[in-house]
Amino acid sequence: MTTLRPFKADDLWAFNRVNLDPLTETYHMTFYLQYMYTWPEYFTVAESAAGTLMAYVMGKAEGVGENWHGHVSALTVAPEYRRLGLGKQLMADLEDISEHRHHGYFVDLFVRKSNDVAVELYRGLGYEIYRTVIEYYSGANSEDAYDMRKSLSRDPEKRLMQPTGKRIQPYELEND
Amino acid sequence: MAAMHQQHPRDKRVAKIHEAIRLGNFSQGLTLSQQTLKKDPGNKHALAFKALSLRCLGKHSECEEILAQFTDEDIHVDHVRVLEQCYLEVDDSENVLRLFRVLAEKMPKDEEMQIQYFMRLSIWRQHKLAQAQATNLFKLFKKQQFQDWAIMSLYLQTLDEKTLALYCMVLDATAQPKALLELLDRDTRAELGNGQLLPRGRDRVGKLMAALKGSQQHAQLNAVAQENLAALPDDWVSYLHYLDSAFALAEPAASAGDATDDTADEASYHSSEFKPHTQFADVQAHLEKLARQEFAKSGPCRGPFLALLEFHQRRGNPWTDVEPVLEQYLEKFGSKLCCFPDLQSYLDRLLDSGHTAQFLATVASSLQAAEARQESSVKLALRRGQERMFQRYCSSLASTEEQFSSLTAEYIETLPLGADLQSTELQYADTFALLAAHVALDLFAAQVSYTSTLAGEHTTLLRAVHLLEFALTKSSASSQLRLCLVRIYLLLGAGASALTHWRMLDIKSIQHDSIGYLMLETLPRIGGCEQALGLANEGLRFLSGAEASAQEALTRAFQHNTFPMIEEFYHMLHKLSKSTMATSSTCDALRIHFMTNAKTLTEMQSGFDLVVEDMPSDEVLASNGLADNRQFEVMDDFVRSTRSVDAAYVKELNARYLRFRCRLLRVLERTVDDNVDNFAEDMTALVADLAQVDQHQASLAAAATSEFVYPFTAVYDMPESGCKGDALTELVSRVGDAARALSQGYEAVAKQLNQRLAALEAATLPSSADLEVAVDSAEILASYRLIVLRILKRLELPESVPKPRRKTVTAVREAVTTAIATTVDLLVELRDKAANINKTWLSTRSEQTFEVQLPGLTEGPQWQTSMIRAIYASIHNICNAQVGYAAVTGSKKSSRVNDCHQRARAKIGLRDINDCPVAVSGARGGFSQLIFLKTALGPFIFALSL
Repeated sequence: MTTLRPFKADDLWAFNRVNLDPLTETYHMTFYLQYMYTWPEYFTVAESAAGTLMAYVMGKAEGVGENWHGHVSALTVAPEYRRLGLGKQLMADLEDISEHRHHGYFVDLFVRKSNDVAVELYRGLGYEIYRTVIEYYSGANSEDAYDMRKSLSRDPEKRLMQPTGKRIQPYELEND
Repeated sequence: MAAMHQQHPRDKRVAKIHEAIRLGNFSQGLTLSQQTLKKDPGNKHALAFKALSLRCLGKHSECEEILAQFTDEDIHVDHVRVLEQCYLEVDDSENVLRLFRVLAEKMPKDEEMQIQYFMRLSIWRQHKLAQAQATNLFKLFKKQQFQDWAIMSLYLQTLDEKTLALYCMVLDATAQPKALLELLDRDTRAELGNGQLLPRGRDRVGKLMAALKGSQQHAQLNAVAQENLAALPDDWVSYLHYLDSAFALAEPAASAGDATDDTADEASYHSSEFKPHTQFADVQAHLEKLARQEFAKSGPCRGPFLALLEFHQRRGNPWTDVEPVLEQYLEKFGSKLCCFPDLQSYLDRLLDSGHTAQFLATVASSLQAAEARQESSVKLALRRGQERMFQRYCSSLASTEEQFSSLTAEYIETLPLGADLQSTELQYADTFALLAAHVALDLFAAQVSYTSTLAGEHTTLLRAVHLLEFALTKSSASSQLRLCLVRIYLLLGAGASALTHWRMLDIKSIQHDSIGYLMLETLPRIGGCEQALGLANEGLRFLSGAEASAQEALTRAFQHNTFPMIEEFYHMLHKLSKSTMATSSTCDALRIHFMTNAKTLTEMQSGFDLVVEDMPSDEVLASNGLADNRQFEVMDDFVRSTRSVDAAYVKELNARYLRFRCRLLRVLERTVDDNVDNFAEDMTALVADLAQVDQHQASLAAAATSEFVYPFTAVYDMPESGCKGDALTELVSRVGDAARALSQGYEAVAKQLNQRLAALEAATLPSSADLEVAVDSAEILASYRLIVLRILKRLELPESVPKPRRKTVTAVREAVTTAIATTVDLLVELRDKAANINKTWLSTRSEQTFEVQLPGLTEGPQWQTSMIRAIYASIHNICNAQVGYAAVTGSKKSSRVNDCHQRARAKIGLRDINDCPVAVSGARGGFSQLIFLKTALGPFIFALSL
């Protein structure tokens, strides 16, 4: 019993059960607001019958040419609602939007190298480790990130998701 | 097939070709055009007809070859329509527009050609270019008509996805569901633009269902909901629409007041595949079918089961109908953590109808069935955890020590099952530790009264601390365990430790506003003034920055045409600018500054000046214009009565208190400035505010029973765990760690108090706050002794405990005893010193006299005492909460004051008037004002913080 609906500004005051997870970053307001006014279709929340926020995904469309793609900025599920396929459902929603509304070539995301559970989840959804971004996560727990990709129908040969084995610096992402 | 709409060609040969094609004889047209071209290879008109003949005969590649021969130079007005027809046959608008653009450029003064180009642009929805072309026409030919065309093109430019979304929003907001349905229908038929403009998918279906519901088209709504559920069997919104519409159809009498409009059943929305269910039997059968389908699958779709429960509850069906659904749900999802929150909403109604025993029996039998099926140990453990939650939620019995022990044992027993889990994952055993901690909190609440000091019952609470600290070493990602620990530390007065764990939760940004209250409301009351001030300032900084961000976002939303967000951002701005957290933090900041730093009137005045400016205006306060953004449901204690507390009611209560606190600050500000012109009116308003709060007295008292305030500052830091070995040994070791830490904490407090007392001795006139410290020291000593005894008792193990473990425990015990000895000495010294200071100070005040009267009742000699009298009388009237250390005393008191305080003492349980330090002197002057204000403001706001 899930209701997928657009993320509302009010949800920011109600997402604590989801965001208190240590692997879920609580960003500054500007970040959330930017997603809400620029890519509202990409900011989706899963709500329970009782109105509790169970999970959410936020993403965007970016890149040029063949690099035009959907990007997963955050995907998180509250502990009580894990192992129910919510992550898969939200990812499918984001992929659908990337494919049919933005006509992207692929969807990509970054994940902590140490987060085996998440890496396996994304592999199960068809994502491949395209490359590694060195120390993408900064701060006290600085760590490398995997840049994982999944091609959409505009890349039928799945050429754009083929693992490159490259290790790049974060600033090189800006050249994409 | 292609139809020609052009003038007959003047060239006779070409005219023949044209005629043949007009009559649909394309082969003949091809032959004639080839013959003409043979004789006249440069005849572009014939070449164009040849291309068209080929196109109409399906020979597209040959046609394209010919079309490719037409350069911009070759395009001519005579054959442009033939070429256009070639392109139109394959919907090649790009080349059609190219043809007319080229001709328009070639013939800039030809009005007809310019108009033709405009028309093509409009036909192909190139509204921006069309607007430019219309403007060009107006410039060239000065006809008003062309300007109108430009305006129309401008209007048409706005008709895109975002415009339609805005239109949908307006229709929705103005309750025009039929217009919305019509709009969706037109968009479906691509009548509004180039194809469908509104996005497909759930947004569209959601709009459709809402519009159908709004226009009372229940039959269509039912069919659409069924169709959606066939594709998305877990979509809860569709279930709700399905049930709402089915009930409206099956119970026409119940919805007789609504003008049902199902006349449009044959409209395009009505799916022929899904017939509306108009009978309850059909609805139940349909939901049961969906449930059967999902039960057979391995997927996690809970929708049909919960929809069936919803259906039975709406119908008021008997337990015999509900039970099989519960059995199915429990079998499939009983080992999932979502089980409890999923069923929680239904439980309330089940329990109200007296089916508690049956429900718990169903849960138990489900567990037994799972055991019989030999489910994995992990799943069985998770099922037991859910069962324990249900037992706690359904039980009306009080929590017991046995429950705590049993849950702790289950925790220890289950823990090994999660040995292979990664550090970022939650342990399967967490539920038991969390439940045990909540049982400990229940026991604490039951044993400790408001007037208790630390001499209350703490044993179980301390055991809960040990358990949670230990559990967090195994499951560091569990925010629920950590939040519970923070709560217990705050109850114990261990602000530093609470803050440490709070910091580990990484609370920031918007969380300051939504859950910052969990710390802010208690931390200052247990002595963590500076830390609370730090947190309050973080929150205020966030609000200030967030407001600017929201304003920026508002303008950006306009720029991006993200219309639905604009209203939300306005609402967000209100929530941020009127946050009660800001107002409350401002009051707290002043209070904290007041209690800790302000020693002179000048300091106080500057503090007031800074703070009062930031407070909401009287108008905002009076109109309840504040926004209480607290999220209450962030911590679940699995108790039904907690859920029954209406969040809106609590927020209203908070708003009333806040209003009073702000008004009090304003009154005090004026008082400090000796501006007492409107004193009587101010006091009347204050009393009126309090009277409003008084209306909520019963609820306040109920809420207050879960609040305990301990007037000491403890540094209860737990050292990092280096414990090895089995879980029980680790746990025992933790007790030792805790005892040592507690001892260190008390010692630190004692030293801190000692320093303050030393300063106090040297001072000529001690302040009331310092005297409060003196009183605290005696209580701290008593409570510390009690806790130490209990910890030591816990470390006494029976002879049966094996040697290695005994050795560990003995070592811990010795370390604790050593630490205690030093601390006790220090505390005894401290207590005696404090008692002497208190006595000395009291003797210096013995000759002071004052009267306390309510304004308007009697003329009082001092306005200060009148005010205090009013405040204390109000306190006395409204609350069972402790008044803290505040009291008014003196060697010569009027009978009125005595009477007031006798009643107050009786109510708040103060043992003796001398428990409270003298706080007021009757003499007017700087010091008396200082004392008066500290007394009036400090305890009052201090103790009444919700």
